[in-house]
Amino acid sequence: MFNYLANPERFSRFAKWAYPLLLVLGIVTLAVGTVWSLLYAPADYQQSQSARIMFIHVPAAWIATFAYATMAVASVIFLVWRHNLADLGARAAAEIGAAFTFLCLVTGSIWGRPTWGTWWEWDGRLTSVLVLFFLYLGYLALRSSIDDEQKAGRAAAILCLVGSINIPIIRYSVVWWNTLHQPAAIIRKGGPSIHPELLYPLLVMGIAFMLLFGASLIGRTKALLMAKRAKNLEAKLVYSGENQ
Amino acid sequence: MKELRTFLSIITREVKLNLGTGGGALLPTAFFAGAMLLLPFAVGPDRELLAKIGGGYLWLALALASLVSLERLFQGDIDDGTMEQLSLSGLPFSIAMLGKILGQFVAIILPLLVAMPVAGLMLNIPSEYVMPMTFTLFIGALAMFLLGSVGAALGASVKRGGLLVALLALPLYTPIVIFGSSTAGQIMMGNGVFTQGFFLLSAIVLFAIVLCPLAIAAAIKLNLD
Repeated sequence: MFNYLANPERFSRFAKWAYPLLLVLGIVTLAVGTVWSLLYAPADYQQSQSARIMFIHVPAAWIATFAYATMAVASVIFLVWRHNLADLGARAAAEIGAAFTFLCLVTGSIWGRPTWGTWWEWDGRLTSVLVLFFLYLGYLALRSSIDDEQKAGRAAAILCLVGSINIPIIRYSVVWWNTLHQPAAIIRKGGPSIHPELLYPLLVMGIAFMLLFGASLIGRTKALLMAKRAKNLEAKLVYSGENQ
Repeated sequence: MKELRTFLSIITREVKLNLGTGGGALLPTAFFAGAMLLLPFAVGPDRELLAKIGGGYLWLALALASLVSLERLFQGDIDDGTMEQLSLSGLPFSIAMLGKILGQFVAIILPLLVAMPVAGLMLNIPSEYVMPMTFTLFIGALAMFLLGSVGAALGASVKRGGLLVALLALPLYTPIVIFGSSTAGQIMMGNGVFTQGFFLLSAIVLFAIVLCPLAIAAAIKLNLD
C-alpha cells in the first residue's frame, strides 16, 4: 500500500475521495459521541459533571501518541525508500499531533482544577505528555530552521526515530519518578475497570478523533504536496523568464 | 590494530584541540559555576534548604552546562573539511563520531570533575557524600553528552543552531535527570550510590554509547556532499 500511495498522482486521486469521506464520517461520529457523552452518559459519582472532560481528554491523548507512531512509520519509509510523500506525511502528522497533544494538556489542566484542586499536577501521565509535546516542538522547529527541504526532511526523520526510541524510556522514567514522589491517593483516570456506560461513548469519541486525524492527515499532506508543486512551478517560471 | 590507532588518534586530537588555546574546554565549567552562584540568591542562603535541593540542583546545572559545548561540537569540523577526512579514515563513520564525542567529553569533564565537589560542598552537602555524588554526576554527564550530541549533530545543518540544540536535547535528558537526582536523594539518605536509579542511569549510558553514534553519523552525513 505504501508503494502504491507513494506515487503523488495516485495519492491525489486517493485523497480526492478519502478526505471528504473520512471528514464526513468523523464529523457525524463526533456529533453522536458528543451528544452521547455530554448528555446521556452517567455523571461520575465522585467528580460529578467535571469528569465529562475525559471524553475529550482521553481520545486526544490517544491521538497524541498515535500521531507520533504515524510520524515514526512515515520517517522510516522516507529514510529507507526516499518517498517524498512519506516526508510530507510525517510533517503533517507532526503538526496535527502537536495540536492534539496541546489539546490533551489543556483539557488535562482544566480537569485538574476541580479534581486535584490545582491547574497543574505533576502527574506521571500528564508529565510524559508534556515531554512528548516538547519532542513535537523540537521536530517542527528543526524542520522549519533548515532551508533545504530534502535535508530538513531527513534530519527531522532521524530526530523522530531517536525520539521514538526514547519515548518508552522517558515514559517509564516519569512513571517511576512519579511513584517515588507522589502519594498514591490521586484519583485514577480511566483505567481498564471503567464502567461500560462510560466506555462506549468514550470509544465512539475515540473513533471520531481517529477519523478526524485521518482526514486531517490526508488533507494536510495533500495541501503540502500542492504547495510544493506550486513552488516548483514558480521556480520553473522564473527560470524560463530569465532565459528569454 | 590500525583501526584502533585511528580511533585513539581521533580522541587525542579532540582532547588536544579542546584543551589548547581557544578550545573552550573550561566554558561548561564556568557556566556550571555561574549557575551555582545564582542559586543561593534565588532561594535564599538557608543552609538546610540548600542541602535539601542541592543534589537535584547539581543535576539541573549539569544539564544546562552540557549544552554549552554542544553547539560547537561538530560545526568547525564540518566547515573546514575535517569531517570529510574522518569519513575517509577507514573507520566506520559512526565509530569515528564516537571517538570525537569521547575526546570532547574527556576534555570537558576534567575541569567539571574539580568544580562539582566544590559546588557540592558550597551547597552544604555533607562532605562524605560529595565524592559519591560527583561519581554519579560523571556517569550522568556521559549520558547527557551522548544524547545531546545527537541534537548537536542535527542542529549542525542549521546556522546558529544553539538554542535549537537546547530544544532538541533537553526533553531527551528527562530520564537522566530523573534517575540521577533520585540517586542523589538516595546518597543523601545514606543508602550509597548503587541503588536502582543509578543502575537505570548506567543502562541509559550503555544504550546511548551503542545507538547515539549511529544517529549522529546519519545526521552529520547530511552535511557532507
